[in-house]
Amino acid sequence: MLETIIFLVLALIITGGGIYILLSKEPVYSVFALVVSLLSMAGIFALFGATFIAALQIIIYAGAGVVMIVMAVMFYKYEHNSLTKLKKWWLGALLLFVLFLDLSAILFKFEKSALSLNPTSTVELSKEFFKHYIYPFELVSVLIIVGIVGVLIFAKERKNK
Amino acid sequence: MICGYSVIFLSIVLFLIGIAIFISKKTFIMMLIGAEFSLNAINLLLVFFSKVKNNLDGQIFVIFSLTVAAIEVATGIAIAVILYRKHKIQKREDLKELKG
Repeated sequence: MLETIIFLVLALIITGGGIYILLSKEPVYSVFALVVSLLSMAGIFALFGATFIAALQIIIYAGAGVVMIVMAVMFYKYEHNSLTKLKKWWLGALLLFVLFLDLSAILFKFEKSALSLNPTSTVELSKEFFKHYIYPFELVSVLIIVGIVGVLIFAKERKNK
Repeated sequence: MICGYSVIFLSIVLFLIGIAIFISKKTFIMMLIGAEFSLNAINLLLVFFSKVKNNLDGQIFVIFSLTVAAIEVATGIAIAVILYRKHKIQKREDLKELKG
């Protein structure tokens, strides 16, 4: 019973943060709403027992990613009205509704089964990770190097041109 | 006892909110925020099914997804900042040179 209440409160916070991002005109406020949503999502992960994922969510998303976004917002000079005036907003709403119907097929496919809230042990997770997913792990490290090099090339000033 | 349907419903709603942010905002950084939001919704679904099926593969995929999302944010923000610094392009309507 208690976990249901916690889940519903966190879900309301996340959805409210998303709707605030959608409607707000100030970029910095919407970045902070994003932080609140991401931290609440980490709370839901911890509630489900995926504690390691919750820690990663806080460190990577809410720590590193959002700091980068705030830095970029500081580089920009914003006009305040950043929401597009959509002339055919009903078309977008119809598209989202159709997409919702499409995705709700997952709801009908889902057979009701018990959700175990026991914490996943990080030792088991890492054993599974390095037993079966060692090559994807190496490929992701290559991807990180490619990303770093790409960002450095982008950010380099070309003077003699 | 958390109802599984409510988790799936929450994930779908968050994904659609992310897509709505992506298509209704003008500036690149707000669009990136929308993409992050959608990715997060998918992570929720992966963790949920990993816990329901008692299978660790879902959580491992979430780790990969987190890494790729971090790289995506870094490169996307670099491109946005470069576009603003060199060409003073801030909104997506101004990207007319990429046409065709």
